[in-house]
Amino acid sequence: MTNPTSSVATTGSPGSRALGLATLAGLVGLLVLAFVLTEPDVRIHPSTGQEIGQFDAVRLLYLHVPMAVITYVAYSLAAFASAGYLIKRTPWWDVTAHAAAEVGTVFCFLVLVTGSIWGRPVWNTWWEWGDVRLMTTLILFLMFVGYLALRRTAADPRVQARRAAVVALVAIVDLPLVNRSVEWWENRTLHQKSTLGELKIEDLTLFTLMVGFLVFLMVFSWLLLHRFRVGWLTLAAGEHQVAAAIKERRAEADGSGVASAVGETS
Amino acid sequence: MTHLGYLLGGWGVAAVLLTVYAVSVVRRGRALSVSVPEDKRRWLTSQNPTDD
Amino acid sequence: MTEDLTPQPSRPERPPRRRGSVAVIVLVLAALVAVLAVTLGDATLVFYEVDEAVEQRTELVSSRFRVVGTPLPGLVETRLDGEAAVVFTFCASGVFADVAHVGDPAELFQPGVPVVLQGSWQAGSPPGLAGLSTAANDGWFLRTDHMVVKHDNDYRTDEERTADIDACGVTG
Repeated sequence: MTNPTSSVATTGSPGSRALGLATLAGLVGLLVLAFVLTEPDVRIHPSTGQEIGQFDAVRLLYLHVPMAVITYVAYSLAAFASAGYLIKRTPWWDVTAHAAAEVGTVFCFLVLVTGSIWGRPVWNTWWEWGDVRLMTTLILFLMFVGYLALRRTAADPRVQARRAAVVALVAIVDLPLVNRSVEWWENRTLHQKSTLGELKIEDLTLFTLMVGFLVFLMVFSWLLLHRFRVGWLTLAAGEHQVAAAIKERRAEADGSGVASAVGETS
Repeated sequence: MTHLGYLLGGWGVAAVLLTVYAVSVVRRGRALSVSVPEDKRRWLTSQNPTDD
Repeated sequence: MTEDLTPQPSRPERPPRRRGSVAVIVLVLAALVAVLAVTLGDATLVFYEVDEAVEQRTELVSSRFRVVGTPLPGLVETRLDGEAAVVFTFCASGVFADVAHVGDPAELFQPGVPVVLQGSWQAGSPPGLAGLSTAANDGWFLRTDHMVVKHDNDYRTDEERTADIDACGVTG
């Protein structure tokens, strides 16, 4: 058997290191675009002639909006992989679902926090109880926190995976509600409607938002890759421990002559 | 620049949390990797620990 | 039926990590129930536009509700019941209502920017009404104490997006 400590062991690979470096370069580019090259959101009101808009607070949207979209991607992947697990019952699907849900929950938390920080100067409130977009996003976050906690309760990995898959498929029902809430409750909710859906964005502002999507997709991919490998290693470490324990028992049995006796009877 | 405190707060929280999470994932991976044979780490190549 | 008195192995204690996870699940469930209760139990959840609030004034007169509209040019800073207040006229779809907002207005509050106010109808006229050029002056005003700015979703350049701003045809 290979000695597990024969080389420096990490979850990195040439591909993940290249992705990591590209992601860091992308983050620097995004910061330059968001803070240096783009203009603040200011317009002149046609009737009052006064300056209105979000001013520099708009620079938080280059962070908040891409992370919200990545949260959709992560939770959709978690639900898709959960369905895959329930059909195929192989660990690959479960490890993928767990990794996507964990990384997605980090992003969802940041969506809530950055949205709150943006809302204070622009809306005049850190949080608005009753806003449908905010409430459905909070519910989505709480359900996936519950999903992650549930994964730690069952001793049998198959029971754990099955329960978690069902919870992920229930939780994902909230996702269309989060996404469509601003359209369905238009004029009844504080959160603004989709800007991209109505193409009310252009030029460098649009370009910066697109770069934000790409960069945070790279951040998500890097984290997902490493988190998947951690999940895979957890399985492999468990199997390795069991194999080592069996080998040890066999060695003990060989020493006491029990193995030969067992071999004769089987 | 207007709203500088909010901008630093928002981008700062994201930078800190993503960094802390990324480091924790890499550390968990390293701790687990030493207990798993190389043939179970399909992505493994000979590497320097500071490469990540 | 006889009781089994055979010595049994003690039941293994649940590891602390699993106990912690069960506690998290209980907390999450409690939080979900609380969020739903707060949301569904909030009587002020529904937004009325100014024209709807004026039309339904007799039904709303004893209730606290949210109303969305656009403040018109001309703000009067005054005091109401000993508290600092800003008085202005509010509009939606060409219908006007006078407002006395008590407390600090939002940082980005200004005429022409839609806001959501929370408060109730009061009979009479707010102080400083004479200073408003477009006052509804219909014997009622909205006394509000919670203001959030309803920002739009438009990030285009000036020429295109200013055309979409509604100010009920009132100019500064």
